[in-house]
Amino acid sequence: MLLASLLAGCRAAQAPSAVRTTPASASAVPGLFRDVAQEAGLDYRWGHGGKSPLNILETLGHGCAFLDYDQDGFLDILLVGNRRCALYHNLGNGHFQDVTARSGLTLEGGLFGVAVGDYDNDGYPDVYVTGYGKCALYHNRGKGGASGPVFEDVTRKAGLGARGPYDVVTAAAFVDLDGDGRLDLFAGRYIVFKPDTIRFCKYQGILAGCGVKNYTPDFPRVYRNNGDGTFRDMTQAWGFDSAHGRCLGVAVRAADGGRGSLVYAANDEEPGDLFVPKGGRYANLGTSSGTAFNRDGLTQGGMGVDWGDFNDDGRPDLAVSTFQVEPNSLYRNDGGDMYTEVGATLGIAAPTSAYVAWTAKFFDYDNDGWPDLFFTNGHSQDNVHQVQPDKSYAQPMMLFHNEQGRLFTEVSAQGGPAFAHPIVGRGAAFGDYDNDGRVDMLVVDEEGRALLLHNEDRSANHWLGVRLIGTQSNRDGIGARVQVTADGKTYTQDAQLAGGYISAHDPRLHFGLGQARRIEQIVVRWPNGKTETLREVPLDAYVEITEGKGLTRPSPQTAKK
Amino acid sequence: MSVPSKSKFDDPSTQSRRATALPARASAFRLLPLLLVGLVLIGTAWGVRSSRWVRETALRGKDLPDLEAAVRARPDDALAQYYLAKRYYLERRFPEARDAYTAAVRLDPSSARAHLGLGLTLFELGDMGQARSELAQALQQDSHLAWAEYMLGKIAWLENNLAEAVPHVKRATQLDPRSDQAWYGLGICYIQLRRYNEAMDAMRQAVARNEASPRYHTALGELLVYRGNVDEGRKEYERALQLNPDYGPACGLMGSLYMHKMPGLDSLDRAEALLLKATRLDTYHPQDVYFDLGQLYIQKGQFKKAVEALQQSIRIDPRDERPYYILAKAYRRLGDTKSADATEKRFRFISERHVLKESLEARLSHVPEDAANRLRLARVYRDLGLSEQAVEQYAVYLRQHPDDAVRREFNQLLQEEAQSRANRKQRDFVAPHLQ
Repeated sequence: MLLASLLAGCRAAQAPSAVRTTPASASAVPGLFRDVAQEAGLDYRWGHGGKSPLNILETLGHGCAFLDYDQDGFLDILLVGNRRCALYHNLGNGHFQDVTARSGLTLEGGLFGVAVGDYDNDGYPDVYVTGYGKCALYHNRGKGGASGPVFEDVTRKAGLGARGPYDVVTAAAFVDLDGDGRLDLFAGRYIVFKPDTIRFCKYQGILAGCGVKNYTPDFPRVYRNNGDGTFRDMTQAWGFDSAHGRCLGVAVRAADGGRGSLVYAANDEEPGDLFVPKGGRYANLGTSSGTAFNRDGLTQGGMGVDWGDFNDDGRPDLAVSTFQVEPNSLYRNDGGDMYTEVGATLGIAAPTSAYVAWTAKFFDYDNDGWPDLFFTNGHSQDNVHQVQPDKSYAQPMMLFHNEQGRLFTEVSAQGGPAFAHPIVGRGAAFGDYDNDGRVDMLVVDEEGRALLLHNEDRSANHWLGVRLIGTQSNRDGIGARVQVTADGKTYTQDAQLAGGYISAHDPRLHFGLGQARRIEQIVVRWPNGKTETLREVPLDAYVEITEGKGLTRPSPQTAKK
Repeated sequence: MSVPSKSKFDDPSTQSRRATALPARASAFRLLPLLLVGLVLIGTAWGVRSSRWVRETALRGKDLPDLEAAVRARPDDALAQYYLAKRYYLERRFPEARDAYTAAVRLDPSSARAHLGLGLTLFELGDMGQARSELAQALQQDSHLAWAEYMLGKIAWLENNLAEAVPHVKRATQLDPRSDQAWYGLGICYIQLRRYNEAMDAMRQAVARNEASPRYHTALGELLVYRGNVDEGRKEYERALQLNPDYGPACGLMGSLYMHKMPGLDSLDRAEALLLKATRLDTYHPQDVYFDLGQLYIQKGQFKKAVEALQQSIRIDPRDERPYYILAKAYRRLGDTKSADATEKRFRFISERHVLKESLEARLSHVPEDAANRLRLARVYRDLGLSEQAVEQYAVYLRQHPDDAVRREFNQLLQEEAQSRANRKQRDFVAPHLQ
């Protein structure tokens, strides 16, 4: 496989005419993605055993993660199920092995999503699992087998457990909010859902899960990492108490002021929150920035969210997935904490209005240097077809190709068979699990099995993968900004493991570089504001950049090649 | 006496010979039947002259002074009163029409059309209660009066009573399936009830029965676009503009379509041309045209133009939070922080109530006995200027919880609502703005 990858790289360099840069040529291939879950040994299934109707919490669905828990250079898979988590070890040969039994991921009960981050900077990714009335922080011990399970439940010590049996914790993200080099935790809350809370409502005489507007919002909590394995609630002290609540999505990025990070929370039928560092605290600039509402100033059912510089102007833009009838929003970052919603004119609004969208994620599936957009869809009422005969619980995934920042063209039809079959889509993780230089996808089908969508795009575009290792900054480099200049064009990405919908992703930043022949430089602005410039960087490879040391060594998988 | 054949009778030469050959006595005998025929004819004419059909034909042909004279001559002539009333109505002299129709109804209480005419007149005079009563009486006299059913539906619709409107308008379409207006009205009702498939069917029926109506094409187009069928919706807008290039609603919606649903490099320019044109024409929702224009200018980075358009939108409808939101952004881009903050404050005030309104509506739809939420909803409606809905919620609350303080609020609201109703000019089904 490694030899094949090398040969592919050689062919890419010698055959520029084979480049696929427009969706038209995509129709020439059988499908951009192929579901290899079964052949890879991923046999996990979600579902509700035929129960119907489902209440609002039962249809929130689940998240998943790509994480290299054992740091062997290959992304492993974590699936959050309704009753338990499942961990699959990547054997490096296209196959995965279920290692749940010895993983130590023991939390059971109504679980939702996952956040990944190395909170103790020991080089191994830790895991925070969210749920209804229960959350768990698992410390990655970096070794398993005879020495015990890989993950150790440190929730009690950390003080990150649920605030009670009815605490609905949904989207979470690790991010260094106070600039001390340690990852803090943003943990979104959804609604107040107690035993006496209404579960089901009648719509046109049909009993179904109630819409979110029937419920009182609950609000996120923000926890400071004290550096000794404990966390402290800083929600009010840091200014996060201005959140609007009903959070389902969270994404982080580098702040614009030269240091620090900012947080966006997508809220379900409440204004979205944009927390920007101001004077030692965080100010909620959602409304003034133009990101709190849809293009008209109306609330939207914010579900998933992601940052991505879709127009290559060096400023991260924002995508928010929403409920049906509400078009998914795409906020162009105009600088100066101001955004303009441009989803309609760029082709996102009309095709997405018909669906209930969850994951929203930028990724450059064809390495042409322009971040594309992906959405999972699936209705929030399992029996919606009884209430609205033209709607269905299962809905198709959607993929949009970025036409050089000026338009998004839907290419779902070229996505492959998995895109043709509606699923009850929820969380999704993105990462190059086979290290072939193309970003793959892991998708949750809430009423089916996991989809592992291998990227089969045949374009010969170049790429670069960057793994950041913070030393003074947090070890994952979350909140760092990386700018890669290749053939005179600069590509910008910010490091985060969150984004999308209650899921976590490949920690490596993946840059598509189109037909670039060389990389002139990489500039890294670490979360503490310090910058490093690196030259002599190879194309079509994963590189590791250690804070203060530059290119430290090829990443393990590149070495294997 | 042989009766001459027609051919012979028609032959001029035969007639001539016969005339010269007839003796004088025979002529006398021949005059008798002619006399009888004459008498029959005169009697028939007299009868016909006094028959209803002939009288109606005659009255229908009379002009207004003649009708007034006829009524003055015979004030108890119900038919003359009816036609006089009808003429007043057609000349839009509604107070005189009301008096004449009232007289006609008094003289002939069984006249369905007199009741109908009186109902229509009272509708034009804004007396919806009496209009409804007359229209109902018209239907009592003739249960197949499609027009009366339609008007009862329209009145209920104007009073935001969709539950009552739909059965009337639907029956109007059953009684007179050729009525494009009834189908259109039914379509509008279904849109508001979010029964979009039925609305689509009704709009298609309206278009089929009056293909030349830009109004129906536009309404169908808006519905299609809203339901995601952008291509077909665009064709309906285009058809409307073919029929009437200056049809304002189609201009506005087509501009909005280019802006929001038809991505392309020149879509903003096309949208701008259409929206600007729409601002010069009559549209159902002019505030939305200016709002779209404001958004367009924001996207184009022309912030001063955006401010002008959005201010105009707010002048037309100060209760809509959307233009405040975009206007604050425009001010901010222009560096006018003070105006931006003030506008944003107003936006927040309305927006927070809007969010609360939707939440309370959802909760009360499933827990209608929640009195505290009922009162909160009444107050939110009041704050948002939705006085009819507020009145309804206050009334329900007060029935369950008599409370003097709340009653004072209610009474004040009733006064405002009466004033608002008096100022209201809307008299026909208007397609709601789908967004």
